[in-house]
Amino acid sequence: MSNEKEIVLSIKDLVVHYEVDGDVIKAVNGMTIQLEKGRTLGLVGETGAGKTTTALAALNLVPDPPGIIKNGEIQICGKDVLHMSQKELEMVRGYDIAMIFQDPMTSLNPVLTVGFQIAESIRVHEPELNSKQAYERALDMLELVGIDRHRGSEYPHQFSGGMRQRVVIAIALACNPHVLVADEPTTALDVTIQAQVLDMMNNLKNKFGTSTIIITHALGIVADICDDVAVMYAGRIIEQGTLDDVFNRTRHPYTEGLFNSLPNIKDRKAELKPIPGLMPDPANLLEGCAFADRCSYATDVCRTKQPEQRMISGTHMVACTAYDDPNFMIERSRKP
Amino acid sequence: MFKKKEKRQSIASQYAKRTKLGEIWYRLKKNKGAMVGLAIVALFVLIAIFADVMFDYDTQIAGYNLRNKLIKPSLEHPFGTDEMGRDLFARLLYGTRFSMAIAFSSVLFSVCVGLPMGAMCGYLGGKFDLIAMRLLDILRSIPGILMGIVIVSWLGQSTVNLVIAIGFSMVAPLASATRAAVLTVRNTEYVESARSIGLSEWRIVMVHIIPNCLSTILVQITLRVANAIIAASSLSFLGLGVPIPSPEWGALLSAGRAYIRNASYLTIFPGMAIMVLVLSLNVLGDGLRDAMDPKMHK
Repeated sequence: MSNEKEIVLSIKDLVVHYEVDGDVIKAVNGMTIQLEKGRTLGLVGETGAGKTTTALAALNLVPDPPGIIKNGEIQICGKDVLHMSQKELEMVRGYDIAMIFQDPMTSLNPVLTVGFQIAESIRVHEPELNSKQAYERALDMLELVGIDRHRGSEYPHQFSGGMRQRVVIAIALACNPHVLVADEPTTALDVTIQAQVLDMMNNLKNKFGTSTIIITHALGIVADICDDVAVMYAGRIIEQGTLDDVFNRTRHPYTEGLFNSLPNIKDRKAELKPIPGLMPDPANLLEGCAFADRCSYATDVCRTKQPEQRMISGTHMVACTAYDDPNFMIERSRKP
Repeated sequence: MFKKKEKRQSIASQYAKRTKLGEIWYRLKKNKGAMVGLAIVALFVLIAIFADVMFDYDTQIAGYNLRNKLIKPSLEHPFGTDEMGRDLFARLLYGTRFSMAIAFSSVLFSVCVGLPMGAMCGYLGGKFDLIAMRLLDILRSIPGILMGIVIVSWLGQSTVNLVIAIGFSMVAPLASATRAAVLTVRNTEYVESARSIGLSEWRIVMVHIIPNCLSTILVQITLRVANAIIAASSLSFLGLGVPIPSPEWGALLSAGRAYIRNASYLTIFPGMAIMVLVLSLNVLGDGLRDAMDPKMHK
């Protein structure tokens, strides 16, 4: 096994601010992730953590007023996305990297047939195909996601939510991109359909070898299909590692809090343990660790000093000042 | 087992064979009111096209025959004759040309100016939007008829100038309606999605945004054509429209005023013609809008 890791998506020190009415909303504050070829990364966090902004930044789609990418380097298969011309960006989007949006009810154009919408991506990126060939390819994609190819001439409103999400996935994967960014792909679907769509995504991932970032706040989905996990809080990654690292050797108090908030199916009478408080207002972020106010392990140092990122093992990273003390360990991972 | 699959496939292939236009036509056919409207409009269009062939302009329309003056509607003259002895039926039908031509040209003019303007305002926003909208506001603050009167008085009385005058007065509402539609569509997730697969801005506007605005624009166009007919008739009624002796409907109305006591048919028939055409256009426009909206339940 070679040690060569092929990085298909590299985000370094990304800082994104939104400037609205005089306020500066610090959505992403120094984020670094590397996505390896063929792996699936789960980007976990609460609403407002900066996950969608990161995803949009990867495609350089952050709406320009009011969003500004203050700093950062984003490379897709080695190409610098943040400094490309509009034309070059149009070639990369859909071809090297594709995105799936959250709500399937509004992600499809209501006045165009689904076949047309899938074929469009193919026509734009592979102009050597004529429109009939592109349409045939589109119908092939439709079959691949489990929809009868004869339905290609139907309109989005003639499909249910789960089927629409499949169409969205078909559009994203039509040109076999290297990277797929899925922004909460199953959040809007009911649980049984969720399972089907995730299964299908897994199969497609294996078939095409697409590297994927799945943005979600559902730890169950992460456990199901992700290889690596990155936990985001207030625009920063506070814990990152393989699935095994983060789930079985949890280190960060926030991640512990996330696991504790999950209801325990075995103990129905146990009290729910939410994390007290709310995520800080991104327009008013304080000096120290953003989680300090809600953390049960916080000390004064935490409130003044920004935690540095510490590698605990070859793959596992934690950003928590408490680990300056080598004997510290959160409750969840304490050896009994 | 096999039969079911075949049946399903034949329904599916029915869907597949019907093109987008075919789909719209199919839905339009179901709306009886709209079909009547379409038939009437089509009839008027045909009359307008063939009027030259049906009637000889010099004798029947522009000429005069004082011996026949002011004859009530009869078999020989279905709508009677006017004060110059001309057959009103012939003049009315010939007048369709003017009304149709003026109405469609002026709407075409305002669409060519207003639609791109509204679409750019809606899509680009920013300074362009600000300046353009203020200009349109200025335009809109002047009453349509007044603007028409001013332009015709300034440029001179002719059919072309009439078209410009009416067209000008319709640019502002058309641009505003387009802009509003574009603004709504611009922020939808499917536009963002289209951007994320690398479609060029031009393609996004032409393929994704404008088709979603079509139903709004189409209703606007139909309303404007109806308005334009009324505007043309009003201006002709005031004597500022097409030059005499052109049998434009408004001019016919105006001329009939003097004889309204004893030859009221001279005003009734032109008035009815205007009413029927405008009503048909409105009903057709409504039906078209419903047919184009893919979400209407069958």
